[in-house]
Amino acid sequence: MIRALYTAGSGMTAQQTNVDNIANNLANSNTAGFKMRRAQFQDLLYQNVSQPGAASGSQTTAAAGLQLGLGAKPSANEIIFTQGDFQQTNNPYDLVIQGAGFFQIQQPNGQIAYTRAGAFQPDRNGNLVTQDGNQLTPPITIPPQAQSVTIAADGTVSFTLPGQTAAQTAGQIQLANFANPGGLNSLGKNLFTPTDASGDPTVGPPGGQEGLGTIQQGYLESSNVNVVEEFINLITSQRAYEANSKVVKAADEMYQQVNQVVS
Amino acid sequence: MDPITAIAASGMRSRTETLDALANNIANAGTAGYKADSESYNLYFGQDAWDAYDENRPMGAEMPLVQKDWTNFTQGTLLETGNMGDVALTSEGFFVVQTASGLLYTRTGHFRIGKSGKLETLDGYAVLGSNGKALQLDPTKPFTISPSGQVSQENAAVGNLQILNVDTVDNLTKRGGTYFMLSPTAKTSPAKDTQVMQGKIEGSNVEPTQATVKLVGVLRQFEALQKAVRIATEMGKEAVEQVAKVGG
Repeated sequence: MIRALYTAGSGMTAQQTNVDNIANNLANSNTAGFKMRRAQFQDLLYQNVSQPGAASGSQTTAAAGLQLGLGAKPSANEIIFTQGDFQQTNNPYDLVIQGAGFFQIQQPNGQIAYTRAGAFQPDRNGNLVTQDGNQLTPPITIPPQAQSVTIAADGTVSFTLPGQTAAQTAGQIQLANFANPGGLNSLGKNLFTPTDASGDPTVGPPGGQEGLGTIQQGYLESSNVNVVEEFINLITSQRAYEANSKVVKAADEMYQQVNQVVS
Repeated sequence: MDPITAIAASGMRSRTETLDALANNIANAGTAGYKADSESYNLYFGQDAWDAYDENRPMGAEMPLVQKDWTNFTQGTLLETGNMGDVALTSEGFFVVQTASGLLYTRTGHFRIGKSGKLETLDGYAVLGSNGKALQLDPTKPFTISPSGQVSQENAAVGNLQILNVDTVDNLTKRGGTYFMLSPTAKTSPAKDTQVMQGKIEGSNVEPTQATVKLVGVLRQFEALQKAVRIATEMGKEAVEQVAKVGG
């Protein structure tokens, strides 16, 4: 019975993790570029119970083993990279990736991080930076006096200068992709870094042969959290938690009964 | 111990084991690829019981016990995850993975490309192709899996997933992590009608409502057995006291 108590306890812990994860998803249901995570569980080890007497009877059938599982554990919460809705902003520096891929961002420590949140702004030097001031890589520099900045589907950034008719090119945005984006490491602030699980980045131009998505200017990618789905997950998780707590109660009651035998 | 107490105690013991199995099922109601366990009750015939049986007398000591557990291999619900590394099987069959201690079987298709380029599970076990070897992929490119189990990268076929049927599922024992171990004498054959669905995962086949109802049943049965023990004790006590009265 102590076994059942701990087994049900592990189930409750697993469901708590699930609710934590759902809470984070729901908290970020309005975060542009946010990608939801989904918790995954595994069953724990199995204990082989030897059944006294089962094999000793001369006429009894050969007893197969009795295995009792010892509960569940949260194994992973992978990132789900489904496309979020597009939200029109008309801001020329708001970009979405239509399809697979990530923007490459230079962090203050020099390392590259990856993001789907394409809310950029030019800084005082004209470099395109994220809301946190981290630069897009390779750098795109737009002079302050530039007018009508256009970013094409293939990532080419062009602008016109006052008094000139011909457009000038500021560079081409490059995207990166991973074999297993679900295995990326979340840094917070919508940034991801590669891990052994995700594999190394493949860099290429948007819409190129690498299978990367194309860029749309003037839109932002909304969070891909489906609030309805999260609520359903929350309800099932809550019910599963309840069921596990019932097991704890049942085990406790059975224990009480045992104690009453010798009253 | 008098027979009533012994039989009731054996029943109580089996109910605690049923509770253990039930607790594990409920704990794993959210574990992808998990298959629910059930127990088979049987009777333990003591030697006295067999002797009595031969002589056509009422039996003395037959005790209920949980003799073995069996795993319910019915299909779990396929859940859409949108993650290309998630793969679910629509019918019978198992994915085969290579571990240091031999082959393991699983219905949980959480795959990824490892650093060495092998298709592997989240635990780092290589997933086998139909030729019995690990599937070697290009780690820089995403992969697609067709319903027939063909793995391709950028429209070029790399190999086929090995999906095996097991002659009798009784030959599988659970190893934790939703992996199963097959007994060495068991036979396997390639699964024919099973389709492979990429972007989906098979949910646990535990029905929490059903499990909770069963839980109530186990609890009440345990209570009844406990009452039986108490009554037997009372009867023993009465007998002793009555005998003492007559004697005195």
